[in-house]
Amino acid sequence: MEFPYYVMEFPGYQSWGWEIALYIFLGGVASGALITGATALLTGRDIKIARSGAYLAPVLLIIGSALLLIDLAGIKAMLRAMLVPLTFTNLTTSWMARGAWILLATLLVALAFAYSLATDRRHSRPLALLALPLGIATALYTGLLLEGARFVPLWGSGELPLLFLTSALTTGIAATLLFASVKEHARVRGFLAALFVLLLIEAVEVPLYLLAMKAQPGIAAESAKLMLSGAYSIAFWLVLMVLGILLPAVGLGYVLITRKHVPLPAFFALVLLGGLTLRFLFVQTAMKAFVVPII
Amino acid sequence: MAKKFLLDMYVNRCLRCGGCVAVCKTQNHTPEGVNRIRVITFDEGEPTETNMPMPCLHCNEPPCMYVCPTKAIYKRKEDGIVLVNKDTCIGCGYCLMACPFGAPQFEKGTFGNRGKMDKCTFCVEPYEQKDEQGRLIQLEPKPRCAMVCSTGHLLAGDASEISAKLRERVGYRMSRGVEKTFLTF
Repeated sequence: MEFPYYVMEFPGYQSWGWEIALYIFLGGVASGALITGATALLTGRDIKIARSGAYLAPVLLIIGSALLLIDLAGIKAMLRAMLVPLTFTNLTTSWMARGAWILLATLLVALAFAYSLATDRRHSRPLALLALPLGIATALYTGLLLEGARFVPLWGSGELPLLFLTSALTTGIAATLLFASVKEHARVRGFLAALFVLLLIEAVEVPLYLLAMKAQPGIAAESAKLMLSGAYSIAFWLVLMVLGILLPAVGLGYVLITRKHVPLPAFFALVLLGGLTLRFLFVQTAMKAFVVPII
Repeated sequence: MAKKFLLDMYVNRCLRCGGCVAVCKTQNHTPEGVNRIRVITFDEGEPTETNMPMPCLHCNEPPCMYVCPTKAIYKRKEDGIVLVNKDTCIGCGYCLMACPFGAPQFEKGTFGNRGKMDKCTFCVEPYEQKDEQGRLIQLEPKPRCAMVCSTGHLLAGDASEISAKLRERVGYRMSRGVEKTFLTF
């Protein structure tokens, strides 16, 4: 059965604000940093990068969780969400409840991983093996959280979690390498190559997602048009696509081919800016579908 | 018996008189900014202008109930009314994203943002009250908004009764070949 969709303002409709957008970004960066750190440890590449990723992840996760709590109804609701273990009980159907437990597990493992790397590194390998799937789960969940909100057509595609996973990995690698402040490129060549490939994937993935949305009838197309040609087109094309994805990709490609020393931190910062813009755009331009109940 | 709202969308009956909104406010004492029923206008100022009162429609499979992380939203077994338990609601706003009718309303929160969710209760008390025999007490015979609706656009009651009423109306219209008129029964 097809429902007619109308583009209209909901009376009393307040979309999720900057807290959630920033949380989705920070959760993505944290999971990406966790994956990068665990990979660096497991492949035996560099303990400095492993430490950088392992220290970044819990800090960012804690900041992100605090943003989530601020968005709730008030102090009582915050305390309830934090302290009452059986608050998030609707695991069968709600992605927010599942995500809360995924977030808690990831935070605990990230803290343990960081602690083991800071001390004697005795249990760091099994913890890294545990951190890898949890990092991927957290990155996917940020997309699934948005996808699980039904009747927001811009988010209602199975591609969204994968898009957010790609962005989480690029921003995570960038943040880890930025925090590790590695001078010699040769030591991080593998990560630079991975970042380059992931940026190329993202450069194709993001426009394809929006073009697919634009081809759909109704609100999804309206939301996509806001980014492709409307009020948010400058933020989308200039900040996200050019500055956030294409420029770092070109720069990294140049570094990888010529092996010249180029100030990489600037590119990493641009990748982070792109990831932040992506999350803000996706939260900001999401309009709700209004279904007319015709019997 | 499933309690339902039904909108007579076959005929453009709603005049946007605002009676349902006003009586809902006075009946339920909802705080500022919370409208459990709203009147929505499509194509305003055009020949196809349509008004539509929008309460919570108490869906058979409520999306808000499915996405609620704390199981604060539930559907009563006895009459199918969808209610929210404000003790367990944490005000995350996920139900607002999920509802296709914009039924969840939010009070002002502590930080000036979204507070706890408030929604249409079909004019029954949100917490189940029972009499001495253990039967459910229903305070009003039917929701006030539907009682005051001047043109009979908004129907409320048992699903079987109101759907029979609507079927009767539609049958009457079709038997006379009338498509779009104002008719009252």
